[in-house]
Amino acid sequence: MADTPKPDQLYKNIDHTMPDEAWEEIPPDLSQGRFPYPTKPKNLEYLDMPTPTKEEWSPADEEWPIPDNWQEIIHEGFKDRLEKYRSLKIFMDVCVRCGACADKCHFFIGTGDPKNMPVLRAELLRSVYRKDFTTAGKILGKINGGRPLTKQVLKEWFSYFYQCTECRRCSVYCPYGIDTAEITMMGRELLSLLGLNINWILEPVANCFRTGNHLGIQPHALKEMIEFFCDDIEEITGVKIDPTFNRKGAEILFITPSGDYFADPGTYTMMGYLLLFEHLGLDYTLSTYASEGGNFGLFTSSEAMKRLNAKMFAEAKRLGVKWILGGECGHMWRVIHQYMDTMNGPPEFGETPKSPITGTVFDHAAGTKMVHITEFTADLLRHNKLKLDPSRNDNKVVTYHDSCNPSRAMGLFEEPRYILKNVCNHFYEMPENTIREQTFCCGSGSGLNTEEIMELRLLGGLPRANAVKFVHEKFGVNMLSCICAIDRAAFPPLMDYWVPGVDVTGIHELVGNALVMEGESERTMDLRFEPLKEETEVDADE
Amino acid sequence: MNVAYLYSLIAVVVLGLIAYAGVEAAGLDVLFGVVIPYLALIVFLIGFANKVLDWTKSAVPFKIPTTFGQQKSLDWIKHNRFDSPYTTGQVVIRMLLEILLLRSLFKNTRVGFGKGQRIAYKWVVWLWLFAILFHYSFFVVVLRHLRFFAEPVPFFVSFLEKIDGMFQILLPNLFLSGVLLLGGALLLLLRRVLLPKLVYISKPADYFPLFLIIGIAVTGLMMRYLDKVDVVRVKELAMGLATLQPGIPEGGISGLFYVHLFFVSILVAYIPFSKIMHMGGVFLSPTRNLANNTRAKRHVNPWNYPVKTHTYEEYEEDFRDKMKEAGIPVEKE
Amino acid sequence: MSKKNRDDIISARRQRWTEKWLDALMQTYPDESACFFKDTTDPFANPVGAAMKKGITDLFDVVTSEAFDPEAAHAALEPMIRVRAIQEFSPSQAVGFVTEIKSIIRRDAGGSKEAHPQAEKLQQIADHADRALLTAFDIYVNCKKQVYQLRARQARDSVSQLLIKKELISELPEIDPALSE
Repeated sequence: MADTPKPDQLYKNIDHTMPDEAWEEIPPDLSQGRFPYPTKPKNLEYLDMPTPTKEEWSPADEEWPIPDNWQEIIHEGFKDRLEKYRSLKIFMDVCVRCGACADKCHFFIGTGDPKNMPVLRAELLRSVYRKDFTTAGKILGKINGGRPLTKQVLKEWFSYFYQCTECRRCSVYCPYGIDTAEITMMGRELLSLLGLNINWILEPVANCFRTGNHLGIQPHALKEMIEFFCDDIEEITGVKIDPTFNRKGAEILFITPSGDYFADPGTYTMMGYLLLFEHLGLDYTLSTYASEGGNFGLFTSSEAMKRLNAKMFAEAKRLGVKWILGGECGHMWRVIHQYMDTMNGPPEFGETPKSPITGTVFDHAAGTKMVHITEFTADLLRHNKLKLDPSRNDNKVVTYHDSCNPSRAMGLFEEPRYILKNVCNHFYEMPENTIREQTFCCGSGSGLNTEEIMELRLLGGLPRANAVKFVHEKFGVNMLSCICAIDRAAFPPLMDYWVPGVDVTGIHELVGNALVMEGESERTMDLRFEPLKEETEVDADE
Repeated sequence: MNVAYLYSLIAVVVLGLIAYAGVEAAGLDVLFGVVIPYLALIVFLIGFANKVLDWTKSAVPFKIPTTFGQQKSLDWIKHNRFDSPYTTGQVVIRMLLEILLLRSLFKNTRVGFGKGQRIAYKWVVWLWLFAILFHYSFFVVVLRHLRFFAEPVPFFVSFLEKIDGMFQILLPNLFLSGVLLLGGALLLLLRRVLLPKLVYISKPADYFPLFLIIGIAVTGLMMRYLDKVDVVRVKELAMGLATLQPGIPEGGISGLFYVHLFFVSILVAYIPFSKIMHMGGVFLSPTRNLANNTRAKRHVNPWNYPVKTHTYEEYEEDFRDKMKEAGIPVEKE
Repeated sequence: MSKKNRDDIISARRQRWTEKWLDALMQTYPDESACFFKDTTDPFANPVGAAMKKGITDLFDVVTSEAFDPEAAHAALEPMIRVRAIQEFSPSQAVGFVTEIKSIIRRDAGGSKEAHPQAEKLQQIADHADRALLTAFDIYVNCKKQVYQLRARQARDSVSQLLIKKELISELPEIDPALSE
C-alpha cells in the first residue's frame, strides 16, 4: 500500500522526464506490493535448504538477513554452475547486445521497465560474471561492463529474477538462442544459496515433498475430493464413476497437476478427464503419493526439481503400470519432456507407451514412457473412438492460448487444436504473432501467481489479454482455453481486469461436455452446472 | 547520456595514430609489420582454442532445445523438422539455416510502419538485413585477401573477384564487398547510436569492434582506391609472413597500410576476449544444437548425483491409518 | 468568434498538440521504453503504446468538443488509466498527464492567453481538461479497487485455509525462534 505522497513526490509530477541514469545506478523498487513474500523459515528447514534466519523478514527492509560471507558463497556457487552448465557459460559470453530480444518480453511490454528487457535481465548476472570471471573484465572493469557484486546488486537480482516467468519467448528471437529462462533459473539457484527465495514457491515444494502434491492434500482428502467431482458428474450426466487409487497392476498411471483438484476452472478439466477415461473403459489408476504433475522445484533449483519428480517413476514401478499418462499442465511437461529421464531415469518399469484403445505406439515417448493427454486424446479422435456431440459446446465461442512450456519446450501445437476443432463448433485463433511459438505468457508462470504481486502479473499478462480482447470483440469469443494449470488460475483475474466477459477452461472440460456417455441421461447442463442452451424469450414466456 | 561510444572511438583513433606515427615517424616497420601481426595471430589461435575448450569443458546436463515448431508425435501430424528437430541431421540443418541465413533474426519482422513513424525505429526490421550484409561481405573480403597470402592465387579467389567486381566501374575495379562491408558496419553502428534501447544497454565493448572494423574497411578502401598502395610490396610482406620468412620489402609501404594491418592485428587478438566469440559459441548453444527427442532417447547428465527423496515407504508411514480408513490400498497392513 | 474559426484552430493544431500530449505522457516512462511504446505500431506487440495513442487522440476530441461529454471522457481515459494504475506510478503521476494539454496550449499560444484571439475556446479546452482529470481520478480508484478485490478473492479462494479448517490437510508447525537457539 503506497504511503501518502511526500511533497517532493508531488513535484515530481511536474517534471516528467525520467532521470538519465545508467541502469546500473537505478536501485530496484522493493516497496510493498512489488515483491513476492520470502520463504517462511520452517519450509527451508524442512527441505534442508539454506535458511537465512529463523525470523520472518521482508525484502522491503534495508538490511537483509544474509551471512557475512555471502559474496564468497555466491562466487563459489557461480563458479560451480559455470562448470556444470555449458548453457550458462555460453549465454554469459556470446550476447552481442543486438537488441532482438529487448521488446519481446511480456513484462517489458507491460511495465515499460527497461530491466525487464531480456538482454538487461541477463546483464544483471553477466556484469558480475565479467568482473569476476573474465580476463578482460578483471582488467577493464566498468569500461567493459563489469561491476562488483554489492548488496544492491543482490537485491536487484531478487527483484528481477522474480519478474521473469521462464517462458522462453526471448530465446525464440535470439540468434544464439540465449535463454533467459536458464539465466533466471541460475539466478534463483544462486539466491537460494543465501536462502533468498519466495514462499509461494517453497511452501508447495515442501508440501509436495511431504504429501506428494503442492497443496499438502493428504491421501484420504484427495480421495474425497475426487469423489465430490464424481458426485457432480453423476448429477450432470447420470453416469457414476468410481476411479481407483494406488491400484497395483493397472495399465496406466494418470498424474495431473493439483490445480485440477482444487481450484475452478481446473476442477472441471478434472471432471473431463474422468469422463473420458470412463467413456473408454480405460484401465488406469490415480495415485495419492504421486498426486502432483507440477513441480515447483523447477522454479527453485535442479536439485529440488529432481527430489520432487522422483516419485513419478518410483510410483509407476511400485504399481507395475505399463506407462504414465500426464494431464494438462505447463511446467510439468517442461520437466517431464526435457529433464525427467535424465534426472530420474532410466525408468525401471513398463514399456513404450501404446494406446490400448487405438493401438498407436507413442515412439517419441519410448524413453520417458509418459504421454501427454492431448496426444492421447487427439489420437483417439483421429481413429474415431469417441462418441461426441460438439453442439453441447455451442454457447462457447472458444480461442486457444498456447501455454509457454508445451510450446517452447516441447512443440505441442496441433494436438490440442485438433481436439478443440472436434469438440466445439466455434473456434477462432488469436493473431499470429501472439500464438504458437510466439505465444505470450499469462504473466504468472514460474511460481509468480501469488496475490501480493497482482499488479505486476496483470501487466505481464497484458499482451496476452490484449490478443484475447481482439478476438472477443471481433468474433465474440467468450472462452479462453489452455493446457496449463497455472494459466487456469491466472487467467480469471487477468480476464476480469482486461477483458470482462471471457471465461477460462481447460481442453478436457470441453471434451467432457461433448462426450456422449453410455447410459447417460439427457444433458441439460455443462460441467459447471450451467445450462447448455440459453433460455430464449419465447421459452420464458411459456 | 551513454558516452560509451566515445571511449571506443577515441581508443580506435589513438591506436590508428600510434601505428601511423610508429611507422612514418619512428620507422618501426618491423614492429608493426612483423612482430605485432605474429603476436596477434598467436594470441588469437591460443585464445580461441582456449575459449572453445573452456566451453566444451562445461557439461551439458540437460537437453533444453527451444522448440519453435510442431514436435514429432503422432504420425498424421506434420512434424516441423527444422524448428523442432528430432534427429541429428535435422539439428545440423537447423544450425545451418541459423548460421547461414540468420533465421532467428528474420522473426523480428512484424513491426508496422505508421504515419509519423520515427526513422530510428523503422530500422528494427532491418537488423536482419544489416547483419547478413555485414557478415557476408566480411567473409568475402577475408576470402579475397587470400590473394596476398598464396602464390599462385587460388582459383576461387579469382572467381570471387570476378563476381565481386561485376559492375566494372572505377579503376581499380570496384569490389562490392568492401563497400558493403563498410556500409553494413556503419549501419550497425548507426543503429547502436540512434536506437535508445541499444544506447541504454551498450558498453564501450559493443562499439569498439564496430569502430575497429570501420577503421579497417576505411583504410582498406583508401589504400585500394585513393592511396593506390603498392600491392606488389604488400604481397611480398604478406607472403613473407605466411611462409615464416618475414621481412619488410625494399622501399617500404605507406603508413596507411600499417594502420590497416595494426587494426587487423588488434581485432584478431581481441576476438577471444570479446563477444565476437559468438562465432564459435553459436555452434555450442544448447538451445539450438540439440534435438527435441528427449522423451524418446535419454540424455545423460555427467554430474547427475543421488538426492534425498521422500520415498513411498516414508509416505505410507506418515499416512497409513488415514489411507486404510479411506479404503486406499497400503503395502503394510 | 464564430464556431468555424474556433474549430479551425483545433484542426490546424490537432496533429501538433496530440503529438506533444502523447510525448508528455511518454516522458513518464524511461527513454527506451517510451521509444518502444511510441514507435512499435503493431498493437499486439505493443498494447500499452497502442492504448496510449488511441487514448490521447480520443481525449483530444473530448476536451475540444463544445460540451464536455462525461461518457466520452470515460471511454477515452479508461484504457489508459487502467494500464497506468498498475504500473509503477504514484496516483498523481499516473493521471497527471491529463492536464498537460493546458501547458502545451499555453506554450504554443505564446504569451498570455487572454490576449489570444481564441482565448475563449482555449479556456474551454482547459476547463474540459480539468474535468477530464477528475474523471481519470475516478477511473484510477476503481481500477485499484478492482485489483484489491482480485487479490482478496485469490487469498480467500486459497482452499488450503478451508481444508485446514476441515482438518483434511495438516501444516508444518511454525518454528519458535526462541526454542531453537
